[in-house]
Amino acid sequence: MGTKKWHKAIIHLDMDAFYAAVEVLDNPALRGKPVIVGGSRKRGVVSSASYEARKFGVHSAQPVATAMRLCPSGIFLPVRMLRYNEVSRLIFEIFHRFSPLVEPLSLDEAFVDVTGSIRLFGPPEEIAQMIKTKVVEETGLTVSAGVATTKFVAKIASDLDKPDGLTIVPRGKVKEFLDPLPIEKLWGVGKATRKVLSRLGVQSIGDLGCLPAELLERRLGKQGVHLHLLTRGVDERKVEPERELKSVGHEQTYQEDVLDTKVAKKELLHLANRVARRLRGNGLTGRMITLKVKYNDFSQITRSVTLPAPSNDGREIFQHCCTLLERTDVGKRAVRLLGVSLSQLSQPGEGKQLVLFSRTVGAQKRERLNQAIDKISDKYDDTTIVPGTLLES
Amino acid sequence: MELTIERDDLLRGLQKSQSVAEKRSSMPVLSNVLLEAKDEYLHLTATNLEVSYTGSHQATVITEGAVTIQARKFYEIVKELPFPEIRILEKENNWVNISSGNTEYNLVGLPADEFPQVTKFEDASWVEMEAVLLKEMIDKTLFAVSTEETRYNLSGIYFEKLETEDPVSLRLVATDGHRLSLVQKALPEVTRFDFDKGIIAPRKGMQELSRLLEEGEQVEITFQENTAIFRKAESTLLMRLIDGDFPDYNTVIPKNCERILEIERSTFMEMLRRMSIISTERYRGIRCKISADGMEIISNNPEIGDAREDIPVKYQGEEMTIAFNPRYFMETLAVMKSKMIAAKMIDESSACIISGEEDEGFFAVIMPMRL
Repeated sequence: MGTKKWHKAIIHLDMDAFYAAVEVLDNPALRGKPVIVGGSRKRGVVSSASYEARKFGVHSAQPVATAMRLCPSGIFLPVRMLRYNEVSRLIFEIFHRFSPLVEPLSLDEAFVDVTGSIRLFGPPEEIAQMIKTKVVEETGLTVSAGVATTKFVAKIASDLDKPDGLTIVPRGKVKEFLDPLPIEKLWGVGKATRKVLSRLGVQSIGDLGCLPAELLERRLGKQGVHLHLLTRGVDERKVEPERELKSVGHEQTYQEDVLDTKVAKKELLHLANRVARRLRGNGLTGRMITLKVKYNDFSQITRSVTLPAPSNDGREIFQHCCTLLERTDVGKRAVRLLGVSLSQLSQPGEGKQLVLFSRTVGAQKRERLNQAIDKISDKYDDTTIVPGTLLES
Repeated sequence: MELTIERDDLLRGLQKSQSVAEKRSSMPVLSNVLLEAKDEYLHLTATNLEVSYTGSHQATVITEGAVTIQARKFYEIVKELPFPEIRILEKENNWVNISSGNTEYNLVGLPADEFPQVTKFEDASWVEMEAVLLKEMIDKTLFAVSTEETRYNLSGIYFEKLETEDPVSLRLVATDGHRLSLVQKALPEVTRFDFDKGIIAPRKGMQELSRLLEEGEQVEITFQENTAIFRKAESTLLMRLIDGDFPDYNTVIPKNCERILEIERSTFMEMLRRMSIISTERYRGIRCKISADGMEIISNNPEIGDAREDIPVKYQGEEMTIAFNPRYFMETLAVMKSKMIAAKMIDESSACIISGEEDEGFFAVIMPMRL
C-alpha cells in the first residue's frame, strides 16, 4: 500500500442518526429504544430517527403523525439545535486534525480531502478508521465513512454500510463498486430524470454506463453528460473548505406557478425570514438585498437595493422585497421561482460604526424580538415561531 | 452666429462649463455647452439638469445666434490653442467652425433649441457675501455630505439662517449619519436670506461653487422657489435644491463632555495616517487608549497585520479606550487650521466633538465604532 494507489483521497463522513444519537447520548436510558426527533405532532416532520425506529419504517422528512402511526411505542423528542451544534463543533474539530480541507455539508456530514495527510497519518483507509475511533472516544457517537478518489463515490460509499460503516473504494474498483447500484444513488438523479432513464431501460448505474454519452446528452442535456461521467467515476469537484460567505440567500421553486401578488408577498416574507435568521445565525448583516424572479417561461430577472445601514431583520428585508417586487412583472406573469439574498456582508470582527441619529425605538425593539425568536428557534426548531400570515394553509 | 473672443476669457468659461456638463448621459445635448451670441456677449451654458452654469464673456459679435457643441472637446481645443483671439462661426446643420491663427476645427453640434431651458432670475433680491468666507464654510462641511443614493436628504449641505442672532448668521451643516460637520459665521452686512428656515444644496452644486469662489471677491446669493443661485462676476451657478427634511442635528451634538483630549493637529494627523495604512474597507477601525499618561493608537487588521503608536497628550478625565474610523478624523483635521485641537468625549459609545481655537464657529461630531 502506498500513496500511488491514492492520487486523490477523499473521505465522506456522515454521523449515524445524528440528532437521535445525541439524545441517546444525553439520556442513556433511551439506548436501544426507537427514538424519533422532530417537530410538533400535528404538522411537524421527523428530523432524525434512531436505527431502532427505522425498523418500523420511520425515516426523516416523514410527517410526525405518520411516524406515530408506524411506531406507537416510539419516544418522540423535540429538536434541540443548540445541543446538536455544540456536538457538531466537537466532531468537526476532530475532522480538522487530519486535514485542513474539510467541507461541511451540514451539521453532521462532511468531506475531508486527506491526500496531503497520507504522509503524516498513513493510508486513507487508516485515517478514516482513526477519525471513526476518535469520534467514538471523544463524543460517544458513531460515524460512517466512505473513502474514494472522488467526492461522489465517497458519499455513496459512506451510505452503504451504515451505521458505523467504513467502505473503501480504491481507484481500480470504482466500476465494480458502482455498476450494481440503483441509479437513484447518483447525485442529481431525481424523479424526472429517473422517469426518462427508466424509459431507456436503465435501472442500475451499470446500465446507465452502457448508454452512449450522445444519447444521454440528447435526452437530458448537460446533465446527461455529467451523469455519463459519474458512471465512470469521473467527478472533478474539489473538496472546498468553508470559505467566507459572500452572500446569504434562499430561493424556492413552486410546484404550482405563483400568479397572485399577495401569494408572492407571503412567499417573500417566508424567504426574508429564513435569510434573516441565517444571517443572524452567522453573526452577519448585509447591505444589499437582491430579489430574484423566474417566470414560468424560465426567463429570470433580479432587482436589488442597497440599504443605508446593514440589516439582518426579516421584516425590513421583506419590506424592501415588496418595493423591489413592484419593479417586476409579478402579478402579471406566472412565477416559477422566487429568491431573496443579501450581499455586501459585514463580518462580526469588522467592528460596527455607530450612528449619529439613533434608530427608532421600533428598530431596537425588533432587534430584541429577533434575539428572542432566535433563542427559541435554536432550542426547538425554525417552525416554532413564525409570522401569523404564514400560518394559514 | 459669428464672433471673435479672447482665448483666456473663453477658456475660463469653458473650464467651468465642462465640469458641470454631463460626461455620460442618455441625453447627448447635456454633454454639450450652449453658445449664445447676443449684444456684446458670448454666453456659455452647461447643465446636468440639477446644476447649471452660465458664463458671460465680452466678445465681438458679428452675427447673433445660438448653437451647442461638445463641452469637453471644445474645452480641450481652446486649451491647446496658442493665439490670443478665437473666431467661432456657426455653419449649416449646426456645424461649428473654430479658428485661431493657422489652426481650424469643424465640430458637429446640436441645435440650441434642444438644450434645456435654464431659468433666469433677473429681478431677484440678492444677498452679498465675501467669496472666501463662503468657500471656507463650504469646504468645512462638504466632505461630510453623504454619498449614498438612499440618503437623499443627507446628500447636500444644509444652509440655515439664524436671523434671531445679532448680527444675522449663516450656518452650514453636513452629515452622512456617522459624522457631522458644522460651521457658523456672522454676516454683519446681510439683513435677510430669502428662504424659510433652511435649505439643502446639492453636493455637486457645492463642489462647483467652491471652485467658482476660489477667485475671491464678492458672491451674490438668492434663493427662489426650489433653486439657489450664486452669481460672481461673469459666472452664474444655479442649482436645484434637495427636496427633503434635514434631520434635527441639534439633538446629536454632545453636551457635557467630561473627557477632554488636546493634541497638536498636524501630529495627530500624521499619526492617524501611519496607523490607517493597514486598515482596509472591511477592517477600518482603530482603537485609541487615552489616559493622562498619553494616547496609544492601535490598528488591527486580521487580513494584514497590526500597528501601534503612542504619544504624550493633554488629557483630563477618566482613562478610556474608544474606537473610530480614522478617515472621519483625518478628513475633519484636513479642513481645520488650528494648531491645537480639542476632542471632547462622554464615553466609548457616544459621539465625540472636535474643535480648535483658530477655527472659529466650527466643530465636527464623530460617532465611534464598536470593535
